Amino acid sequence: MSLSASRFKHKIAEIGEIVAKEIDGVEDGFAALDPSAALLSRATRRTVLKAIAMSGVSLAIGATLPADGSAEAADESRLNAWVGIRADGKAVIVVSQTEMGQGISTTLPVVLADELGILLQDIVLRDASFDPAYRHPQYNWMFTGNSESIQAFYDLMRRMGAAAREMLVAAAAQRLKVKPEELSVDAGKIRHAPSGRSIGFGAVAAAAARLPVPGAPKLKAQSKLAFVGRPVPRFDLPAKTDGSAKFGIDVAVPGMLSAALKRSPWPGGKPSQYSAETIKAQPGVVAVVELPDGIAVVAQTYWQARKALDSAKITWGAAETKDLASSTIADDYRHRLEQGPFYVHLQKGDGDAGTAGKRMEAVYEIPFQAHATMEPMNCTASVTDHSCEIWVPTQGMELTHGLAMRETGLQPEQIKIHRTLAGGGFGRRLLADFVKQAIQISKRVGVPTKLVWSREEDMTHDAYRPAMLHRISAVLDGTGKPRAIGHRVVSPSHLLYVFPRPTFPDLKDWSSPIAPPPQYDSMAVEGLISALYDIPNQRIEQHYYDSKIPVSVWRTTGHGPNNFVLESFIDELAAAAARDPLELRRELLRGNNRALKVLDLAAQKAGWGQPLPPGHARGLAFANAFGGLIAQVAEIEIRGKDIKLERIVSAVDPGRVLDPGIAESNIAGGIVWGISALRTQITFKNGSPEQSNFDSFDPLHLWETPRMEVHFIESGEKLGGMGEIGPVPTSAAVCNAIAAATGERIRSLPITAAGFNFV
Amino acid sequence: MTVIAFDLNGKSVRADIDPDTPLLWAIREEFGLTGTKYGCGIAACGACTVHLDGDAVRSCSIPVSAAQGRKVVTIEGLSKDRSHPIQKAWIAHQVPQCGYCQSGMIMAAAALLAQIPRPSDGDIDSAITNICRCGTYKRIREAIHAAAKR
Repeated sequence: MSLSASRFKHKIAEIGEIVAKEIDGVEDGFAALDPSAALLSRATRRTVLKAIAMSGVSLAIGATLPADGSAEAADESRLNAWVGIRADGKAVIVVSQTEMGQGISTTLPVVLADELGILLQDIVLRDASFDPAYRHPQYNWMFTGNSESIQAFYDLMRRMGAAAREMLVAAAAQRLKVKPEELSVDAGKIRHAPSGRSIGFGAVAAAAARLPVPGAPKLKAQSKLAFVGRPVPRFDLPAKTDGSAKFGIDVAVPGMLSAALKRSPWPGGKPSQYSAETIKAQPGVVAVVELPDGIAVVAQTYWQARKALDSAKITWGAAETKDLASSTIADDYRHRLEQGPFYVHLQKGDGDAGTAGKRMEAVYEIPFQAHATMEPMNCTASVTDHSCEIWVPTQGMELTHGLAMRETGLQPEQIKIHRTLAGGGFGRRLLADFVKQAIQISKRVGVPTKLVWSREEDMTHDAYRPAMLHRISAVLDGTGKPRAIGHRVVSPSHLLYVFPRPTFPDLKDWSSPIAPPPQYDSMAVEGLISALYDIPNQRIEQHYYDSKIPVSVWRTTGHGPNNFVLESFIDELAAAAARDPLELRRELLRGNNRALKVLDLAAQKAGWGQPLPPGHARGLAFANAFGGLIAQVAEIEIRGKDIKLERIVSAVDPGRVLDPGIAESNIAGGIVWGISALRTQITFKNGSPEQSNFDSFDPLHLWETPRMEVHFIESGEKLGGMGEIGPVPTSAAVCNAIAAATGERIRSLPITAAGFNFV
Repeated sequence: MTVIAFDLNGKSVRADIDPDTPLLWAIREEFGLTGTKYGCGIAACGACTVHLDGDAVRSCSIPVSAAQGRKVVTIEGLSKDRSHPIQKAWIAHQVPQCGYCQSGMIMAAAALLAQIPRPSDGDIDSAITNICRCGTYKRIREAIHAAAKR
């Protein structure tokens, strides 16, 4: 989840000249920060392909071959960094992106396979280790996040599949002594129709691997793609139904010990008093390792380590964070909202002043949130003087690799990362704090060690979705339509820990936060700058809040909170002018046929405007997020403060839908995420989170989940991501329904603070 | 340390173990069956659900000593070849996303079907109280209904 120069350039184009002047020198700034990223951002995907192609097979097999431990079989012929063909004709396809539930380990390999011309049952997946070949083509940075995997890798997968196919065809043409144009490819076979002969991929793979890699392979026509656009059974699911799927927490390495960890209750505290001897006397305990802000107990089994640690009396040193409390943090936010200073991300027309007219204003509050992945943070590390081997469920391969180099002083090729399945990610696993701890512990005890955080450690030592405070204002014309809109957002950076760092030799500390310059930190205002409403005068400002609470990216990043504010406020405007929320949005989107189609489809499928039983109400919200458009209508039944979520209807236009089954699961699951965030929060007292487990942090359950319908529109526009767009409009859609039913406008989340809850 | 003996997935097992060890960690660390997951340790999320004499229980909050002489079935023992109707329905409906909570979900659903062969929506609401952060609940409900019809 990071910004690139190219993405930022896009934003400059979007927000016009005035702001472009304000942030003059951005390009240079980015180049200075990360030369390689700037360089790559100028390279198109095509040139990346060419670079890989020109490097040829020797490079693909040598320096850049996945160092993932599953070395290729002797009978496998690599055709490029992404695909090899075995003698039995099966295609070994590399999965560069982390599988954390979103289905990417099915969709991207299937795209390559479709272009290659092979059947699904002939695909063998190989998970990538850290390797520059598998970096995000634009950011030059290996990670999985920001709903970018499809957007970033779709074209590359097709070209890699096509390049491999052309090499196989060229080899078959030589073998059959015919022209390549006379050959066709289907289901792993190359056919020569005139003579009726055919030859399997496996028979020509070795010869194909010796041929030059085509620089500009010819892609199949869309109509010739057999799998893209159709629901494909996910490759990862059978193992997830019989207990055989291996997550990070399931890693077993010969001679391995297990570690439990307890860290300071407040950020930055050090262990001051404890008896290592008492802990060591407990059954199974091998070592007690003191970390800068915590204590790890290493034992034969995790439970032994955990029991010994839980029974230990530890006192913690003070830190400046010890008195942090939600009430004082909220006061501080409010103070900053008045005092600034503000960085202007966008000024359009007369800004938030606009023409004369009625002015409306509201302040919205967004709480801290925990990721609470079902699999707690964990990492297994084996560190020696000459090697560092890591088994970890991570979204942040580049960060993990860089951190391992820094912590061990070893060379890049001495670091070996085995990425496992991730039991949820949601942005949390982009960070590598737990990797650093595992490396430090293994170094100290000298044997492979698996560190597993307890749920309590996980929830109280998260890098939280930051709290945000938002003053939104509008100037209305005589019809109640906004002619000007203003946003003042107080927010920390979401990118502190995950912003791409300088190249390896310049590394300072990969585990420490760095604040990107404010002009890059548009994540705090994303969804506002990209709002599609035709409002001629706009001003979007951010006060950068220097949070002492660790914060980072969280599924929906800035889009979720900002959409809640914008779309709730649009309904406030509609209510003030006694206008229908759908009709007002339609007017603000006039001329944008793509957006209107999405809005109208959701409204039509949800029966917008049709009578409802007493106590029922509908709410609507619309978003432009993660490269796609989405509209949602929530229907609720309300009794007093008890909300029964009846139905949520979504219309989504991600450009094209590569796999309707996987896409639907992302949207429906995302809505559950969005509803959960309406009632969960993290609050602080004495420097510590007040929620530590699923009793006090209560995500949505099955019995509270509404019926959901997801409708897709394929406009053919640029591909959008599916992982995070689903929950973006959910908060506003539900709160707009609550307001429609009760007249009560929720401007502060969670809704439980206003006494509401789901039943 | 105490010797605890019970039936695990149809096999007699025994371990010389701290009897207070949660059944979850005994299953994972003593017997090496990692399909049963740790999620919360306080019986709130259900990722650790196994069958104890046929009932769905949260193994993180039961000491291994409670299994003495009884029958424990984990996800690995539900069927030899993913042939349990719930497992088949889970694949047919493409239920899992990250998959971490799904062993527990499947064990809870299998116990429900054993008790109520044709569960209503209300029965499913009452029986499936596990947490899934990916939000697979919609397909879980559909898959349970589909498995019940077989």
